[in-house]
Amino acid sequence: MAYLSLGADHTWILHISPNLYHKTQKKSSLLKVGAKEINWRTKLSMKFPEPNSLFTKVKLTTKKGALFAGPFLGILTVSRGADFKGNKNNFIDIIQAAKEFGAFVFVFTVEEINWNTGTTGAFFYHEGKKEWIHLKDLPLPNVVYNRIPYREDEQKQYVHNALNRLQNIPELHLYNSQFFNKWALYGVLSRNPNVSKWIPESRLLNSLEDLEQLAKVHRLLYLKPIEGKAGIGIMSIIHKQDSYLLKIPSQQRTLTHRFSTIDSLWKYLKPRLIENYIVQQGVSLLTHKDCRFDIRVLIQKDENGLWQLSGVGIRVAGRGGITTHVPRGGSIASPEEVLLPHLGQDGYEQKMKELKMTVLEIANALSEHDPSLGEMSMDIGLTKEGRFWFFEANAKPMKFDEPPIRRTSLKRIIQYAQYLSDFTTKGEMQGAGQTGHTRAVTKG
Amino acid sequence: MESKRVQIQLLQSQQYNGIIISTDLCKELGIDSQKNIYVQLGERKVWTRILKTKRTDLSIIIPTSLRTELNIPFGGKLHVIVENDTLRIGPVVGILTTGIQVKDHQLISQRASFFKHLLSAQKEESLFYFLFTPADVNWSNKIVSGLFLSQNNGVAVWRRGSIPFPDVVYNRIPDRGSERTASVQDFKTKLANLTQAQMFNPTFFNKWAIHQQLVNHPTVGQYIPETFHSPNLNTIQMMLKKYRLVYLKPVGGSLGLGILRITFKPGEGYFCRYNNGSNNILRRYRNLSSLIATHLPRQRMNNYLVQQGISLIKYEDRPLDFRVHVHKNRENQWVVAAIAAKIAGEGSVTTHVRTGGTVLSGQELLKEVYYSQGEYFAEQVRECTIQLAEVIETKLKQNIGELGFDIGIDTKGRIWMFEANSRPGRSIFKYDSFKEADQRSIHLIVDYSRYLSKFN
Repeated sequence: MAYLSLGADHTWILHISPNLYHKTQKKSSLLKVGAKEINWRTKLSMKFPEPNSLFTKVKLTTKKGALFAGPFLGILTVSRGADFKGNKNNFIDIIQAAKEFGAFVFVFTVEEINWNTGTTGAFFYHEGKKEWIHLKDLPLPNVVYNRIPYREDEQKQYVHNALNRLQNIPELHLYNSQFFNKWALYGVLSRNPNVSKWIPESRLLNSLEDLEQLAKVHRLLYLKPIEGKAGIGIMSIIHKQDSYLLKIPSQQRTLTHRFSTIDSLWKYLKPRLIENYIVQQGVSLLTHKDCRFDIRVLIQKDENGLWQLSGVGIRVAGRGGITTHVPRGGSIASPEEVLLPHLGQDGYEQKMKELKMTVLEIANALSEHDPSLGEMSMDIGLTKEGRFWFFEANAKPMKFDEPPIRRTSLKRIIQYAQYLSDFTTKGEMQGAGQTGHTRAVTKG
Repeated sequence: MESKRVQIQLLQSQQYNGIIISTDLCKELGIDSQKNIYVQLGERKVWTRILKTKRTDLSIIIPTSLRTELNIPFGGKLHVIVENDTLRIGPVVGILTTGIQVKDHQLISQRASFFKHLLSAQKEESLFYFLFTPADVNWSNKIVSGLFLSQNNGVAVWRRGSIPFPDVVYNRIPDRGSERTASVQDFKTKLANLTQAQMFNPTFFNKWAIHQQLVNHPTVGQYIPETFHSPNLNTIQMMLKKYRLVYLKPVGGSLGLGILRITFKPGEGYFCRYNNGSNNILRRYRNLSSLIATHLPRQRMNNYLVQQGISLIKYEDRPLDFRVHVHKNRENQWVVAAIAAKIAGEGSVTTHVRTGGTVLSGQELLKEVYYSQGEYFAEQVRECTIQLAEVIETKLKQNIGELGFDIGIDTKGRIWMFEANSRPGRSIFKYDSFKEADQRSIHLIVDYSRYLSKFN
């Protein structure tokens, strides 16, 4: 256990245990930091950082006779003038969690990376002052947690180039390198025999024929934009005996259009499909107080690099609504509250085990496709017959509001970063040792 | 696979020959109800039929014939888990001790309240939990006559119950002498060779052996004071020159008995503090040889250690050290259950309550001593003890579920480990500030037993 803090004279201070402090001769130490193993001169202290200073907990490890402090975990986003884009409260939570679990977390933007020196400008949240402090010359981090909030930004050429350059730094680990492409996702999963049973039938929606193919087999269809986010743009089609009902959710209520033939439906629909869409088999789900609901799970890699289920929440759609996204009229409920009445105590426990198995299996299938994945959320449907269906996965999950899930999720973000960059507890134990550590500190 | 909590009901009936399980429960446990199955309780394993019932509740009914074969003492909520073709019921956890008797359903032992307290953890758990001695085991059929605790109108009642040899044995043999007796040694040999049972905290620690394991360890060596075994006069003299303060401790001692604190003041001589069993005494000697000759006749030096003295931090002018009680949890990870600050009595060599010491919350006291740095020091202490526990467990290759460390902080803020106890006392838990920690501690013993017996 050690801390890094920024002293009043703008030098960095490494806070080590009194035992180690008294063993070292010099009261300064040369650290290796970040993916490029930059040298950092620090003063040594045996005290806890000044409460009003800028500080975080870090782990120490020795490699090749040098002392490494870290991990440095950079939350990557893009600039907005002198500021940065993204959910600031979420970033603050991660920085605060790192103070407890051990990592130097900062927010940095693609625009501020200095490729020549292997450093970057960055923002750190000052807990005492309750404000963001801009720091110069921080090392390029060991782990980059990609939280670029918009696909449009991520697809810009210079952002794309920067992501590629980061990916090519040998000791740098990119965590969730990109958004999922919904269509590629269905392709990967429906071709995988371990998980295809949970994947609803889906097609790219390019022509009337695509629509007809699925409408023949399924009474309920969903139309989803490939690069959709937060349920925006999702429509549904219900095939009744002599008509097709198209439901389009809008701000306040859901608009329903009736068509007598599929051709007239397609004529109406085609000019409105300004993005790329998929058409997907709809399933008839269990309801909670007459509203449909999704099971939303958070899955993360843990301190050993293994997938774990971090939490299960329920998102209930507004009355008659298609999407369960909270900002679009959905609401939050607990799994017990919603599922217990349907399943009973024993059935509930059984189903939750099955859910865990299902989503971990899907997560494994997806990480074969993209090994950089460290976390994702999934929307899972449960039918009246007790069958699970996979609807969607998001590689940049929105934050879960349930406090226990939130806490687990923050802990795992930090611990997985420690795992990726070899700053696990075991690494630290060797490094903080009497011989290794002391030698490294005194050398500096 | 996770274990399940179910109600085990005993049925007074000769009519049925098998185990009665509802179809729903069979499905949930993944049992093929068409086949026969092994039912296991502790060391007893019985091959039997499954009798299906349409009842939907999560209970298992055991009729008389199976009850007799299985030697199940009584019904109640228990854990079940299926491994291959075996349905295990349990866990069966026995606390091993010696020197106890039962008269009129009351436990006759100096440590009766200690055992009563440990067993009280069964209330919110689901297990067979009992006390037994090596003499209570019938090795020919591996049945134990255990002492079970129950409440009758708020009064503790101890009853004998016959049960198969347990899955897990928590060793609480009271002292090194009893541990060495033939009956205990014989018990250990038989446990290791004749049963699948897991025992935790199987031995008392030898202070010197522990020291040897830790002193050169890369992580935890930094916490170990310099120590020599069977010192001669020269060694003690050298240590006094280096540290000005040394301790002489018996290798196999406990409760702080026989410890000498020796200081050297140039021009004044050698001072020796000790406790003679009732008082704290200070004596001065002109030279070291007369001090040693008085207190440690030659033959006893072989059982002694000389240890670097640490100038401990003080509170209200009295030195203090810490008892840190750590446990393994159900995930087999170490957790700190309590940090107690022990403040030395007036003129005492040690911080034992027996010698006039007092006990306070370690966290609170560290805040009194270090103000805003207090929590930081508490964190250092927690980290140091968990590292120590991990290393001791790895080095000794034993199941260790509980440890008590004597930890000191010196005036420079360094942390030192004086002693690791494998049968830590629970006296700190009597104080009000440790009531919560006390409950956590007794439940962690059950948690670790569940880990060892694979009833997770």
